[in-house]
Amino acid sequence: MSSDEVLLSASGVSKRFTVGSRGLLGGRLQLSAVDNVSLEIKKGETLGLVGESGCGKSSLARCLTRLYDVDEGTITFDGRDITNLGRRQMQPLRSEMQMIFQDPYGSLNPRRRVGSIIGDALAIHGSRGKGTRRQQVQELMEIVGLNPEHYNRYPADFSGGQRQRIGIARALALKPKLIVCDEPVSALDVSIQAQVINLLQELQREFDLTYLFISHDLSVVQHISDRIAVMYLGRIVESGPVDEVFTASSHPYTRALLSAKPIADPRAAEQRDRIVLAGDLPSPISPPSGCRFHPRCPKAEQDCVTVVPTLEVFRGGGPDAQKVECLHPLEADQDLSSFTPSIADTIIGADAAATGSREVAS
Amino acid sequence: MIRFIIVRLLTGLLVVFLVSVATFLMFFAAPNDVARTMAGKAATPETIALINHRLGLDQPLWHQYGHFIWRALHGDLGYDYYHQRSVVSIIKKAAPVSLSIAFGAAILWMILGVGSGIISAVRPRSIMDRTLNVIALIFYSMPTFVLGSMLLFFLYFKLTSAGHSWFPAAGYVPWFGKPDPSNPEHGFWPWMHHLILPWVTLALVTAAAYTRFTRGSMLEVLSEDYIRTARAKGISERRVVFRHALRSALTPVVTQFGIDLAILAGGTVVTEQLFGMHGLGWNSLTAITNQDLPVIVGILLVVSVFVVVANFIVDLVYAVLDPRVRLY
Amino acid sequence: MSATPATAPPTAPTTTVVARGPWALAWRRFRKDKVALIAAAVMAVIILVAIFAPVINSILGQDPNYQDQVNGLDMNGLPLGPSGSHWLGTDALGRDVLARLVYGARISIGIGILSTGIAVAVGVVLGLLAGYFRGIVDVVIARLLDVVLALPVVLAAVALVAVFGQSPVVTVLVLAFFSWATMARIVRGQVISLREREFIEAARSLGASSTRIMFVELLPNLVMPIIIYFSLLVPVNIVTNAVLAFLGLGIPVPTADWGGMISDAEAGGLYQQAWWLVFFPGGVLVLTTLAFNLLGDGIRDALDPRIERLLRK
Repeated sequence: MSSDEVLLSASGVSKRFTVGSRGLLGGRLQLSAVDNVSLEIKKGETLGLVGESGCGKSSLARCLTRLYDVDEGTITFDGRDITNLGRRQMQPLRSEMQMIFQDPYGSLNPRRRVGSIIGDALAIHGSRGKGTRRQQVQELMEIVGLNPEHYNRYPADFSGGQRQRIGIARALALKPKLIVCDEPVSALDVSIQAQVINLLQELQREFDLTYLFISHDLSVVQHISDRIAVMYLGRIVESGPVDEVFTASSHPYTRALLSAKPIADPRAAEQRDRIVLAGDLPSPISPPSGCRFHPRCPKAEQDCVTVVPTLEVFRGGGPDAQKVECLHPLEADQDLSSFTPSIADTIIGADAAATGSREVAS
Repeated sequence: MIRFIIVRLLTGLLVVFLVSVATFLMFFAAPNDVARTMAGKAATPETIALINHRLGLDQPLWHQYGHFIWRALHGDLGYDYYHQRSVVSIIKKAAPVSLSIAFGAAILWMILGVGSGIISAVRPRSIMDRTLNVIALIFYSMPTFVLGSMLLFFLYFKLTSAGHSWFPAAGYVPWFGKPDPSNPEHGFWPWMHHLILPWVTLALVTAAAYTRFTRGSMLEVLSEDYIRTARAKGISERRVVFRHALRSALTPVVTQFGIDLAILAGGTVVTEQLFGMHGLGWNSLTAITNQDLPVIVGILLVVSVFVVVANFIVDLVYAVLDPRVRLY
Repeated sequence: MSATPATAPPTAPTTTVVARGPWALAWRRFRKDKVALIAAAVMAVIILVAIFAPVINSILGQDPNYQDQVNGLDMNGLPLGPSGSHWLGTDALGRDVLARLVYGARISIGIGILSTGIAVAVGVVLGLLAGYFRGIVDVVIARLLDVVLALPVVLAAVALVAVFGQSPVVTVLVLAFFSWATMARIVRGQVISLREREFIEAARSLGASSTRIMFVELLPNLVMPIIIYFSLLVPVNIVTNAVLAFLGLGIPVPTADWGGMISDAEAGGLYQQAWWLVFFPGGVLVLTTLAFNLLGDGIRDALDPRIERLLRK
């Protein structure tokens, strides 16, 4: 299914934005959206990218597809360094990596007919003529499950799920090697989500596609991904094969995230230990020092405040290694809820000091 | 807020600068030859060269522009080509006329237009609303000079011939200051008396536009959810309209007023011509027949600066009405 | 086993649901608006008159420039009112008013539409460039807009005509010069907000060039404000042209132009004796403007029925 050949790799990628209004002296705040991220996507696989809203997943996706210019690091696609390529040079590569967007209502131009929208890539990258284009578009529409006779309709005539299919057809037009799916089902009803996910999987099998699948929905990601990477505040904190990460996560954040995953069976849900993280996601404009997670980490220790951990192999080896970015990663059998931080500089610590208790849902 | 003011101020200065360059350049785009016209047909090349030199027309462009601006800032806009009256003195005499017309009309149209717009919006589809709409539409489609001609015809000519000279023929009568020796009238009531027809002419057309505009804006605001909440809270309709809705509804009206200032300057030209009032516009028109560029350009420059300044004030008013703008 | 039935069971009548694009829906709304339809009819008549002016004049047997010394002026050399030979009267030189009105339609409407067309074309392109590229392009164009909008229209027109002389070309260009700015400002504003939408990002990710994004993606979203503004601007330009003619800055005599006709009538208080010289051109001018305004309102309501919904509450 997935080979060991790397299709896309990122090394040390960082992206910062300047935000806020100018102070009198012209100074502006820097927002660190992506910080020193390295990852690899192998040919034919699906890499899932998860994290809370605002953790930088979408920014990372846009950096990888060169919709944004990166501030640091390198990006390699199919063996070629694409970090600094200009628009002209990127042009032929665009047909090889495509993107599917989150918002089925905003990602399609409301004033254009869907046939024309789907055929965009064909028109840009030089297909032979309107007739052949139309034929190709209608084939694509059939492949994604749309009625090819609706070629001349406007996006407003379609439902959310159908619009996402249109977006998929548009991305598929030139049979790209990589498709970045930026939360493609988040805006859809659950039943429709299943249909679209199944479609994506079918297409992957049929056209030998590679996916970078971004989502904040863990169940979906677990279903579709081969490997998974977890992001927190612009950094990747854990990565590895999806089953291993889900059953034996090593980063405290991943553990907490997984414990929050909804479970269908109410009795089982009652029985598990939910770990409620204290506090909110800090602002990416002034991220915490050292390990960015330390103020909310139940397991924080003194060195977590000052030392910045790096993504290192924790278990296993080779391409299926489990990597984690933590100074004191959890072993498989350790229970996160049994820990209290040993330093004062955490929200939990402050809470505990103030109220003398700790929240545990039982 | 301070930053907002500073940015607006600098932008205004830049615009004034560009306008001054544009108006200045008009001198040189003109294909006419002033010196020759002044000197007459039989002039020798030396005379022409002399005149050119005296008028400063033989120096490099930016040099002349520098002189132009320098003198302008010192209150000297040159002299008209033919009678050697200073342009500034012409403007000084003409400005009060134009300003009287413009301000009076502006106040009148705002009251009429916004007032009737609010009335219309508060009772949509009522008889009052429909009548106002039709009246507004008709006046809105009438160019100022057509309306003025008709008013002159009916209210002046017909009435006067019938023996009721309620309205004066033409001419401007100053409120303060020394009147023309040929026309010794002056004072407040004669001033108003002579201005009523011009005011009405200029105001009615624009008032009609504002009626429609205010009505549309008020209707939109009155359908907003927060107004519905206010009504649900039991606030009297009067308070809802005046305290809550009016503020948001008026902001686009204020913007429109700013845009209309430039048009107002144009409207006064027509009114002056129609009613024989020797304001800035009238002076420009007579200057055209003589190709008297200093007068035309001087007036244009002064009026443009005035429009920029007025727009700046309007922007400030807008910022007071709509706090979001201050976060600029 | 039963015998096959002799006839097939009746099938339910199939109803086809036809999808209507936004233009078809707008057209249907427009068709229901009686006022707008009347206005459109009046406008069509005026435009036809403008196009076929020479034909109409020859049918009527009148020439707009012919000074009829015999039937056109009375004993004192003053113009005559409506009569059998001159249905709408004559002007100071004995020329037939109706013929001049007919011919004037050509000039007034022609100049109005032509100058609006130029203004809209220039305004759209510059607005697109300023809004899409931002940066230095936007700064330059925005300043230019500020300057043009700060200039008092009539006074600046006076200056421009003084400099460039009077001619149809100058008139058209002067009118266009003052109207492109508002269109550009509107387009620029729309483009600035549109360019952040996801479908623009999608176009970029597909590798679309800036030109393609501007004309294939953005422009279709601008068609509505463009149409609305165009319908607003034509009557404004027709009126401004009349104003210029009235002030003596328009197309030189003896061409018949509605505003010029009124201006001629004002001279020396002539209108006091000859009311028809002001009323007929004035009336036609108001009628044309009114028709355009009503039509413009109708177009706007058909394209964007929000206010209609507000009123129905």
